[in-house]
Amino acid sequence: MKDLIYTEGLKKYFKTPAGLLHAVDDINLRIPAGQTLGVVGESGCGKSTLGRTMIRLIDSTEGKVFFDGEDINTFDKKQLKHFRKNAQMIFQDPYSSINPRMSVSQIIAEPMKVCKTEANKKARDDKVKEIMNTVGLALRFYNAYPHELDGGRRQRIGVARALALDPRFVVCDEPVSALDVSIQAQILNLLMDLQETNNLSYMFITHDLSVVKHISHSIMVMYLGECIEQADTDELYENPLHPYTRALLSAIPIPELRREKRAEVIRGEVKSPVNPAPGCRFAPRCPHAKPECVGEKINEVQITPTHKVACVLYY
Amino acid sequence: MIRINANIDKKSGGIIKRRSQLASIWFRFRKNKMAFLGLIMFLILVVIAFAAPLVLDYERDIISQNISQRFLGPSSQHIFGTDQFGRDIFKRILWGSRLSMFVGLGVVGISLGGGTIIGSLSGYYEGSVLDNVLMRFCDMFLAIPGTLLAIALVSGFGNSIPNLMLALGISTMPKMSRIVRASVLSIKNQEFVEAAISCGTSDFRIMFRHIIPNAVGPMIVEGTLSVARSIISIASMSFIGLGVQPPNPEWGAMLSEAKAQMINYPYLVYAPGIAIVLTVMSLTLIGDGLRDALDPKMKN
Amino acid sequence: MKNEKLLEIKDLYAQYNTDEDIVYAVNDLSLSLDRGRTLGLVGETGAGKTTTCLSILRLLPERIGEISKGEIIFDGMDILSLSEDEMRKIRGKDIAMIFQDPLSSLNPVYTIGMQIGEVLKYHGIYKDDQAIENRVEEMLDLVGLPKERKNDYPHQFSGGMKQRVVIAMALACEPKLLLADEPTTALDVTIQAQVLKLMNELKERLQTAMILVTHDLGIVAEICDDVAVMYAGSIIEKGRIEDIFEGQVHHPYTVGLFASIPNLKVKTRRLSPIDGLMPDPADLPKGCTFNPRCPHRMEVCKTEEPPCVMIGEEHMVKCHLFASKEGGRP
Repeated sequence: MKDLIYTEGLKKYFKTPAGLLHAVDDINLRIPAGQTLGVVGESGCGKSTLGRTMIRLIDSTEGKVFFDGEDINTFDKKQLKHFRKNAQMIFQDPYSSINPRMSVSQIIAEPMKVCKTEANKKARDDKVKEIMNTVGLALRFYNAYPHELDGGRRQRIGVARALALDPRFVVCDEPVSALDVSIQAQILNLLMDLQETNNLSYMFITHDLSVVKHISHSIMVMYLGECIEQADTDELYENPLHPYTRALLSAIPIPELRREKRAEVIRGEVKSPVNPAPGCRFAPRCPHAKPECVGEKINEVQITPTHKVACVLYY
Repeated sequence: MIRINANIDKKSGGIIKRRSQLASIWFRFRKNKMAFLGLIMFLILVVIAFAAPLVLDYERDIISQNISQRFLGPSSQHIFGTDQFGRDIFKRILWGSRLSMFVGLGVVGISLGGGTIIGSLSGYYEGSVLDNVLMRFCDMFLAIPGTLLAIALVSGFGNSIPNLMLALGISTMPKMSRIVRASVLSIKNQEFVEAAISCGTSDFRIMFRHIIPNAVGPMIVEGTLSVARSIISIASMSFIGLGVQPPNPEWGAMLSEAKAQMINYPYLVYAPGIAIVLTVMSLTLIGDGLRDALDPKMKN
Repeated sequence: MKNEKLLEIKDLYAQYNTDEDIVYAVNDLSLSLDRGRTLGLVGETGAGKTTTCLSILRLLPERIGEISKGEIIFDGMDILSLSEDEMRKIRGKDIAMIFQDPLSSLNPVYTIGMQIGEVLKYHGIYKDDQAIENRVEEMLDLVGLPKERKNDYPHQFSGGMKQRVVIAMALACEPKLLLADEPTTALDVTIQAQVLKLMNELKERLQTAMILVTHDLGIVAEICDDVAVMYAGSIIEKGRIEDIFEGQVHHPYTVGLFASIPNLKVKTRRLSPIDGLMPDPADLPKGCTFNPRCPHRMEVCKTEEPPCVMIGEEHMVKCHLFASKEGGRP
């Protein structure tokens, strides 16, 4: 299958007063057309920054992002504008991600206005109605303002806006984490339906391993800016290799009684990503830490063609 | 808690026609009784300002002196009494509304316009060279007392009323820029701005369509309050001989003239004082109402 | 002491009176909690979980919030008839509350030692400073923080550690009842696991009764003894944890809630959400509040409020489906 978007050694460092913050460190990933890559990690692991560098909302420090075979970091203004139509984003917070001063129809029409994709106002209005229909927003909200709607409907506006330009790639940055479970399921189903009908590729960023399982074809686990494990979804859940992935999986509270005693809870908290020492960044919390975990860069080990892990246990 | 607005028809699935943006702002504004009162007061003042020359004669009623009638207390003939030259204070107040309101609004217009441009540019390009240059200039101007700055500017430009307005406008601009910059900073990091960037929106459109409409609240409050301040500033400028010259009637100038006679003839300060207070109050009420009316979150 | 009722809420109604209309946040809510037990209060945003907790502490927003009917009996006292002064003595000492956001629950300009000490000083349990100091250290130790950190300021702690400080503060006076409002929602999963483990240990050691408000059924399964499911301000199902998680008969909403959780073990790609949205609490549907979204809706549901049907000894379901005590799993 052809990859719609892939990266080579993607890095994003931020300068901070304390030193260089390694938000995204040497990420290699690929997303085939019509598929979803789940990116999982805890707060501060750089997953949102990764999502933003993928669509050049943030310029990367080093490395390349290829979209349709072209490096997006070399795009000039005109090419970038064209790329923007193809790559869109759905944001986490249904409250701050839509302009409170604009009505629902204005919000959805705005990208079309900016990119002049529709010939005239009439065509734009028709498209807005069509999209509202697709994402399950009743037309009676056409002229409503966002504050009149609840979180689930607001998130549908966010989805509608992202779809307005008929993109091929959408970065979903925690699109359901601010929603109630029953609404969460509605939005997840909507995203999956849209993928099927429009052959969309998603990068689905989340901290929730149980949500990402349903929507992703493959999953990448991040820790402090690095990819520590990447595998097809089923493979990852059946055979998690990295100690951090295992810890994440066992930390999820499962709505079932008397399950086997929870595997040891991992100790400590996430370190700062500023000037990290070479070596495994999870080592200070890892129950299997060895002397060789520190000092040298940990290389990714290819376990199967679709499963790789960065851990000395599998050297 | 989020609730569905009553305006949305729950049964029909069709598009509900809404009032246009302006109409709904007016609708929300009208519902605010105090703001509406402010607007009426302000309109009366405007009517007075325009009608004054129709009813009064500048030579006869405003500046001709009549020493035999000086310092008459309020009476049925002279509602607010007469001043040290025997001129009727009421008539002078009416006439003065032309200058005071014109200058007051003009000053705010200049500082609001300039402040919005400077503040939004430096806020949007936070940390850039442009931001640094603009803000250091503002700091420089903020370090000089406003009146002093205005004096310097008027002496430089030459003494006339437009120059006075410009000078006062420039001297209040740095503060306005700071306020605009602060609200732009808090808004530009919200996700909807990022969303706008992600579909290739130009910086100009982001500023004017997404950021500034969300930042108007503090700007309007500061704007209405500074009308009052600038009327007072004009007075102090007039006092030292810059700005409005006697015998031109201007509220601030009248107030500072009256100050000298306040111990013997306290009624002299009432009229200009009340006039300024009423103008400022009406503008403040309008400002409050406008801030709420511009926010669609307020109930329709 | 065992199995003695600590808290009993009878037919509680709470509402918010806004300019526009009245928001009925809690409607006809009854529940009871025995000493040392943990009750999980489950429901979605706007179900009235937090309002229930605030009502117990009588902390509803002034002027707007109002308890319009009902009784709250805590430890033999009628909470609603106490004076504000008496209430103040209960808050923090007999009933403590943990809020969702550990960031905003701590004052950034005081050290955490001072903040924990403050609670103790206020309630006058420990007279001299040395005793307070000792108790502060004891509490930090209890929640797994090093004693030396009592002189640190909140910003020097990470989110998970701040929540530990908040828990230490809440437990400092050995309250009889702890109200925990989404205590781990703001935390990362691995940190959440640590905090849940801590709460489980403390629960066993201190025998404090607890009401845990959450939207996460996984957390409920981990620490609760009893569960009450809330919808639109009332409890639509309650029972022991086994009844809810393993019982065969459930309220249709509970069924929907379980079905919409993404399950780690089952390999379905599509989830089955509940149709529709939470009703507007200012304009609740007639009859059963869940009826517009219910897949088993009957004519009677649209007009009559459903009865509370006892399915098991302690298992209650508020639904017309079981009114005749027949019918299996809906």
